[in-house]
Amino acid sequence: MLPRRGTFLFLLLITVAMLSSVLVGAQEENILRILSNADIRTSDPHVAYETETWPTSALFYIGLVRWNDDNTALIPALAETYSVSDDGLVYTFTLREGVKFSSGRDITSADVKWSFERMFRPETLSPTSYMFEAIAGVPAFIDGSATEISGIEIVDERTVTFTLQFPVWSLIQRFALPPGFIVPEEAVEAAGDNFARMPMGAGPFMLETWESGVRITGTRNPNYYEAGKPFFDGFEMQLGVEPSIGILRIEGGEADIALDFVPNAEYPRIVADAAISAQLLPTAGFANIDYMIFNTTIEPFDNPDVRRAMNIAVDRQRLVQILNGRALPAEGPIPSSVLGNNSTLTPWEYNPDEARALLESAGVTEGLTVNMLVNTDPTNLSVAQVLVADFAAVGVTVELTSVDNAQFLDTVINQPDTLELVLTNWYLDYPDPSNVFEPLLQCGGSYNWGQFCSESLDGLFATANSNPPGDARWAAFSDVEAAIVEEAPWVFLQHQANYYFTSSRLLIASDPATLLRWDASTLR
Amino acid sequence: MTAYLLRRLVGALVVIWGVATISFVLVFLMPGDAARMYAGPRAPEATVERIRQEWGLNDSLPVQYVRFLGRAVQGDLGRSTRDGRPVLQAVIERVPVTIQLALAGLSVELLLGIPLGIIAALRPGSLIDQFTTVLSLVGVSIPQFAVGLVALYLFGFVIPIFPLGGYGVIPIFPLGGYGTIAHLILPALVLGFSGAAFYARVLRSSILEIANEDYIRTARAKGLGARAILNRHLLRNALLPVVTLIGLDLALLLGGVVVIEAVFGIPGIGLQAWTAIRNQDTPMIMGTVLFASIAVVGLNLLIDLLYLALDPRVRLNAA
Repeated sequence: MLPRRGTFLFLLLITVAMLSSVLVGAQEENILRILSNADIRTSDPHVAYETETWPTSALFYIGLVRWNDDNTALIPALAETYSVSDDGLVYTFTLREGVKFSSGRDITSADVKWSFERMFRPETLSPTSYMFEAIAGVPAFIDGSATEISGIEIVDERTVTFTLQFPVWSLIQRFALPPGFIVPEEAVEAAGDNFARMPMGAGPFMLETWESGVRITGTRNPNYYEAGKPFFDGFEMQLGVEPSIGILRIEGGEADIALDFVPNAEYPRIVADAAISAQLLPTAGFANIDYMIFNTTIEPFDNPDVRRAMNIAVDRQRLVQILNGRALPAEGPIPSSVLGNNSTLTPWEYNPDEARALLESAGVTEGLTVNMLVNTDPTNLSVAQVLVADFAAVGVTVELTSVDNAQFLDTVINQPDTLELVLTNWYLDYPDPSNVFEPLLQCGGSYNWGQFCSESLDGLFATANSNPPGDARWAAFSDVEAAIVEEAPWVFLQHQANYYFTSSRLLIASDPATLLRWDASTLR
Repeated sequence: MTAYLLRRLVGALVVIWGVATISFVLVFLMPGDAARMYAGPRAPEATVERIRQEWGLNDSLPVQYVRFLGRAVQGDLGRSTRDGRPVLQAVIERVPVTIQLALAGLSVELLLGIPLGIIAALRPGSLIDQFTTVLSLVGVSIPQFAVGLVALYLFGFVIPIFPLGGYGVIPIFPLGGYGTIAHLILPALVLGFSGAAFYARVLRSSILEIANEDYIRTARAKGLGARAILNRHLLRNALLPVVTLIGLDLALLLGGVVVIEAVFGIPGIGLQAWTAIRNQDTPMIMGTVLFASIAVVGLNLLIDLLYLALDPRVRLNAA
């Protein structure tokens, strides 16, 4: 008997569906398949700053220097050599002979100067240009009184120098970040307002298509500075893929890597499964600290004893459990992966009885009620709830105010005086301890939302920061960290470990500049 | 009739203007700062201030509103403050994706819901009637993201019949994208699942109510067969509330199915609006709100016209 028409149509539909999925599943072998949950808003290295936009810009662009394969030192990239003067004021780069943009045009020192000046032009609206503000002549260029940045000098076709207003020893690390990538003038001019989605640089790949919200594809750059790289003929980045679904797609062999970190909920399943746990790729960058800020200008948080008491009131092991074991308890602000971290610090011992006694001796009796501001990030909210319970156990009632990120930023930046406690986290842009102290803990630091200020600590920091990279610098920063912990301006919570998830066929590395090493990625 | 249409059209324009105005004021009053969201938490205040000035965010509400309205009537909705794309272009790109998903979801709702509703009404208390009751409860109770994720896991990963999310297009529409119709089936089924049961319940009540009307009894007394009564008298009248529902439902679906779009990675207007709201991207928020309000108002107008065709009583009143 022939099937009825409805049944026949249904079967036809299913067959079409199966065939289509088979066709969709068929991928070219030598194409790197990337996933991203977010729609990539820009690939412009001077405008990008997000977890997904920095690695995207590194597909198309590269800078003068980069991290070596062991992530232990910076090595020349577009530059052939670089040097820093003894006083830390002059950085000299010599470009490789014949190094080219993907268009085939030679890169000259004029391109380097133009690219860095572009970052400071008002129309670029660069949110990351502050990283290079120490270059001499930048203030005059920004306010329009100079037409060029005097501190960037073209010595010859291949040599360019950067002269600083004051020594910034971590500056060389910033040259490896996207704001330091070289952008060609003609590509910016040609693309106009669409440059964000029309990338052209000297990175491993060249843009093929960019469909907003759908996918970005690229082909290998035949003019890449390292012969034989990249290994892949091209890449395809699919956008809008929910992170949990992304993991399933990678497990199913449909994709190679997701730009989103493995979600907290997925982590235990992957770690427990021997078949796929090796596919977790720890991030070499993204050193971080989760912390709770005290407004140190108000009572009782202007008292270091109160701040210390609240540090020992927190059960950090419980917090690590909440994060499914994906974290290390923090003793101080500097992650252990960053040089200058003080490895001799004693872990904060969870001791609610002592915390209560300390609070009482500091005059904080039962009935203290304070407000804690937190954004709506689910992990932050879980951590906040543990803190509320821990503080309640020592007699401090904490009322949570959870707001979306826009309102959170607006409040902490524009209304710091209204704050009491703030739960937040900081990801280092580059692995130097100054990237924690300078913005977060210095008097008047731009992200010092708790308004903590200690002139003696600032003095210690200035001394430590005047040392060039080396043992003396790390030892001095280690002392600064110990002094900070003594003052306890925050409740130091934990350092999270973040992972990418990759396919079993992909070999790829991540670097301390929070980038993925696209050019060196290969098939196993 | 023409006067009626004109009246309705003017009314529709006033509604759209009202929605745009209220939305603009609400977005203006929203706490937060679009320039800060663009620049990120680390950009210095001076940079953020430069962005504010460039975008005119320091201007007063009336100045910004008049500027927005002036441009909007000329078809210029500005550029997204998140990615710099022209809003109109971004909305136009995403509308077909959403229309496709909405129509596919609605089709599933109707293809499942109407037969279930009729059968349940014809056999009240039967197994199928109880089944639709349970189904509608389940459909309303389980969040769509849960159904979506489970469906993807089961039919995309465990039994890989369908692709694991992604953007699909019906091949007859040359809209771009990497997918095929297979990408559309699962989201449409998930979307249609909860709606189908709802339609079934509405149609069931409507049929049962009309079945007690005098004219049905008369038809039965005249000796008309059950099938003829159902087709000619019962369904035609019982479907009127369903038609109204379709209009409202479709308008809602076109306004964006954020959850389904997010779970399945479909770059529709809902996801666009959600991203815009999170980033305080005022031009994009206004663009998506305008589209949604035009869709709602336009479809309501269409439904009213359809009523004119379906129901002679409405025709008389309109005249």
